[in-house]
Amino acid sequence: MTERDDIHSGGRPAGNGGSLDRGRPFDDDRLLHLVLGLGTDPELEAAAQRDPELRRRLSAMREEMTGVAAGLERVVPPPPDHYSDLDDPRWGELRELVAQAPRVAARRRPRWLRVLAPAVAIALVLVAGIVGVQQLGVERTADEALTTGVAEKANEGEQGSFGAAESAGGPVVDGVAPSRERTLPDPKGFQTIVVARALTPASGRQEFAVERVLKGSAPETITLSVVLQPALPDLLHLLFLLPVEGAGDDAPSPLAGAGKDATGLLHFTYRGAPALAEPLSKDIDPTDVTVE
Amino acid sequence: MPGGLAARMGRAQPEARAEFFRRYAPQVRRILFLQGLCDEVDDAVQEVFIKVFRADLPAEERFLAWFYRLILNTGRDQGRRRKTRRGLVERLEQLAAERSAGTASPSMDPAQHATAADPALRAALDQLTPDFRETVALRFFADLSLESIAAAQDVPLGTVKSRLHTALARLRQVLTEAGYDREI
Repeated sequence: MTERDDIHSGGRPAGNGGSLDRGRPFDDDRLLHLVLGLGTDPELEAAAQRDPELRRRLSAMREEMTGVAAGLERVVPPPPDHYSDLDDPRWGELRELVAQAPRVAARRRPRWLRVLAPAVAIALVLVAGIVGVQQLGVERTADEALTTGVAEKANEGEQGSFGAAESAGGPVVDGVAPSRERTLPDPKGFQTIVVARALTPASGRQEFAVERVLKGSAPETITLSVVLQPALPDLLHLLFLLPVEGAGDDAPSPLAGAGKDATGLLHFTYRGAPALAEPLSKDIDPTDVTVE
Repeated sequence: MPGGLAARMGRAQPEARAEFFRRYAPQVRRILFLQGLCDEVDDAVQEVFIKVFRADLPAEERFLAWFYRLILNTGRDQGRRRKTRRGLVERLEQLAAERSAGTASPSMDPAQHATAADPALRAALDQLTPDFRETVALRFFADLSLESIAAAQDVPLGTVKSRLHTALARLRQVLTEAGYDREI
């Protein structure tokens, strides 16, 4: 297939889609364009809301793309877990390069900078000290007024970091302040677990910017297909990806219920397999999150 | 990529380099496999990271586009140098054989068993040009946005959309004809 094989060769002939619109038909090419996230199509989405058959075709197309993604996972699977172990003999040359990495940046500093920088630092400290002493007289009178306010804010902050007022009763993930009683998926049941920030969803998909990998490996950005309800944008989530069949049997079924189940977990698909997202507290530090 | 990792690698910190390798080596391998130009994919993977660690790294905001471009170019260079003409189908079949023999990842989803559609899928991938396969690999294995793929392949955004649409339509057609087997 060459560059000259444009999009018109990729789908079924136009008019096969049973379009309701007298203009451009809602053929498979157009549905595929939307499903792949190649562009928005408000006309198609509006028509799908009115037409059950079109909605069914769109859903079938999404399933087929899920099947393609699953097929790619099968024919080009991830390598073994130990693949990126630098002690493996295949990485001999690379291992030496990593181990002997010189601290080049420190030697690049010019001589004048090495002499000047400490002098500037000392001068700044002296200036800061003089200014600080002068300010101390002013701040002393304001301290008393602030004291009560700080105590009040500390109390508010403590409550705020625990989200809603209910106290948690269920298992706790370190660093995650639960806002309600809930059960997390069994980490052994998933190949990949990451802390990621939700981005704005579009066209049935939602991207997450990975901030920390807790298990397995992950790219910089993960794209999930929304089942019914997307995650709240800009909020950190704990993502459980690529389930291992047979493990974690006591985990909530990813296919049970709607896009969000009673435990508050959000359901997605990732590369053809069910995926779960657990919303985290608003101010949580990703480095504090662990799973046992 | 975790914030600051590219900067730490730029300062040649061994821990940062090791972390970067652990994080991206599996993905690089899959991209190079699907690109389909290398005879010895692991050699190409090592070459990619050696180049990264020896290079003057770009600024953090440009690093990933540069990195993925480097992966694709390394694969193309290896393809020009290769001595055998082993096809993509043969290499993918070898991957499947490794997995069946138990040498693949023990933590890989065992539900992703081979299906009757897989040979047809391999053949369909082989029929795509490397450019089209690269686009598919960057979308599905690296989860790159369309804009990032365009930057990595150094082509217009419209070209990426066209390639992705054409390739996925073809793969969908193949799987439909072979019968989707939803053993996931």
